[in-house]
Amino acid sequence: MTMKQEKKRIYLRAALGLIALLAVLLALDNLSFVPSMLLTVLRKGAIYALVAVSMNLLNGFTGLFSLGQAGFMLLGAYTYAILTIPAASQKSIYQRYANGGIGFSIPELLSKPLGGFGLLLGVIFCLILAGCIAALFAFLIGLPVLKLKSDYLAIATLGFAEIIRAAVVYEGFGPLTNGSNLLYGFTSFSNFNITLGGFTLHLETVMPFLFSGICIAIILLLINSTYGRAFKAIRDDEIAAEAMGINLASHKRMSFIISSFFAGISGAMLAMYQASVQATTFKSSMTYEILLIVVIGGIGSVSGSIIASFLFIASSEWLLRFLDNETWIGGFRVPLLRSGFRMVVFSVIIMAVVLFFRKGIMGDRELFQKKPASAAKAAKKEVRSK
Amino acid sequence: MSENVLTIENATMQFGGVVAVDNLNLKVDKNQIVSLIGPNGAGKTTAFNVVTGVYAPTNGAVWFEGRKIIENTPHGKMKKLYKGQNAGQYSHIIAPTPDKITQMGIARTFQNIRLWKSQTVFENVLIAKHCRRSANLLSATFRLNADEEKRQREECEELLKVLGLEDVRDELATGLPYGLQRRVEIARALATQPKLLLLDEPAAGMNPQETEELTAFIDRIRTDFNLTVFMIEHHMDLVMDISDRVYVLDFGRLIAEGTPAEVQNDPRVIDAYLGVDEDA
Repeated sequence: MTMKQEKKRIYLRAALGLIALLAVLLALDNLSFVPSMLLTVLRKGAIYALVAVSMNLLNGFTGLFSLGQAGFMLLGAYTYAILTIPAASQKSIYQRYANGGIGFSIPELLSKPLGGFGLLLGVIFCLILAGCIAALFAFLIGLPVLKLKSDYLAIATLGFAEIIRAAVVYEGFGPLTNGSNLLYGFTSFSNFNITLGGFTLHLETVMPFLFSGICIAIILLLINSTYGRAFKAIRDDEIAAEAMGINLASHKRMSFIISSFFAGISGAMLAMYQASVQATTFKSSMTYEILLIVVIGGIGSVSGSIIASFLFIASSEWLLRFLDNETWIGGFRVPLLRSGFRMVVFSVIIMAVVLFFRKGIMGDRELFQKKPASAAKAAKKEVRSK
Repeated sequence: MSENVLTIENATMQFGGVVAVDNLNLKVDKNQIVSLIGPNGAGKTTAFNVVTGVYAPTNGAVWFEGRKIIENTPHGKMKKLYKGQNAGQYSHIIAPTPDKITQMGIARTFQNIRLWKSQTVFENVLIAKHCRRSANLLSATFRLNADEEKRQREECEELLKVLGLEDVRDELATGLPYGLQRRVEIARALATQPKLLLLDEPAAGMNPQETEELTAFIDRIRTDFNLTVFMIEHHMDLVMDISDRVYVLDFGRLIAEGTPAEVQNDPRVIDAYLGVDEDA
């Protein structure tokens, strides 16, 4: 009885917290004195949080070291962009290809009869479809690749991500992908802004949080379900997992496909945020950025990944920007500060994390989780003995 | 005549040119405790791995509850290399993976304990219930399987209580003393609801007192869970105390079988194993 009441209280608190968060975001979005950099960090951070959590599901919870995340994001981004470019502007966007584009736009089709609600419905549908395309490719890639272990899997998935990136700009796919040219003009987060009589209610930060939040909640539900527990068993000891009746092949495939599904959605959201898509954005360095977030946050911790993604985006987009700019104090030119120095500092941070904080910010714990004291103690002991 | 649970029929396991198990024939009847003994390297664990699907035998078959669950015949590269007997007797290839074997009702423990290290005792046992789920991915994610989940959790609690593990329920499994870890491994195997339990050296590394407790424990779970037990063991006290039948392997070959008393007095066994290994 008390357990149930306690659970109810926890849920109530969580709901209130979420509503408060959304209210704060709504306020930030609409107050004019809020620095635009903060909004950038929040928007991009929310999107990176989703892809980091999806990578953590695979690397941290199932123990499959895969580096294909950028490739699946690219698939998601392109799928979303192709489906949502307004029919009228397709001709000018695909100017290099006669008969380029698909000739219709799903949000447009739905918003004609249903208005704003149709727009939302269309975007959600396209996001899910973006995830499905990424998942489909994950299924196909997984057939040969998931038989590999550890580093070999990482190399193979990295290779596939690069192949996808190269294939998208192939001229033959031009009428669909616009070759190596930009795709733009599709439905983005700013399309959700509500204009009423000269006043505009901005929702550009609220929407990515909402979408990311729902996706991460689903991943969390999965991780805490019987399937999530099976994933962890595979990570801890594959042989024991198989001996206890867990089908390795199907569970690994499942985890790979789900992770790619959400990577696809986050790719689509990144496209929405940037308002344009180009294959060169999704280089392998993007995968490394996400991997960095996962490692800093703690492999096997969802909240760690979320925290780390905001930290990472904040420092790379905002706080460490000054490192890239030549700075003069009076007649004195501050040494080292020049374009590219930011990445040097980043590398040093990575090394420091790997050397001294191997478990990252959160280790494998979660933010609001009570672990038994003995477990925490044993974990500490393990760290020390290493 | 009691009901037969497991039959290993002409099983040969050959790795390259090495014959690890040579034409093994073995029967385990319902509710019996059957031991497989033999000196180091005799092929006992290999025989276990054949039964549990880790290795497909090079030749031979395994029957479980009257059903042929594993069958193989030398094929491919092995066709030329095969040195064992009965090469032409089998024609099919049935090679289920270990998880399928577990779902059929054969559970095992490991010689070197393999608990999931980041999980508590309770979680270790609960994860083993995964193979008895009816929920699919979606229904599990969106908690449509709440009843099943609740039932499985209760079953696990019950199991821990019966095995005397409820005090260490929330401890990390690998942080426990050795004897308890063994017990958790058995609890985990029992959670898969097996009909046949394979124990690979359950008393390894235990002192005489712990071994005695384990003997009583194995005997008890056999009756409590209506189990058939097939085990590999080196502790002769344990083997002779509770076994209904004993099989002796040496260099992959079966050299003796019978009741503990028969085996103890078999000169071949004494030669190969007991005479050298025991003080008596």
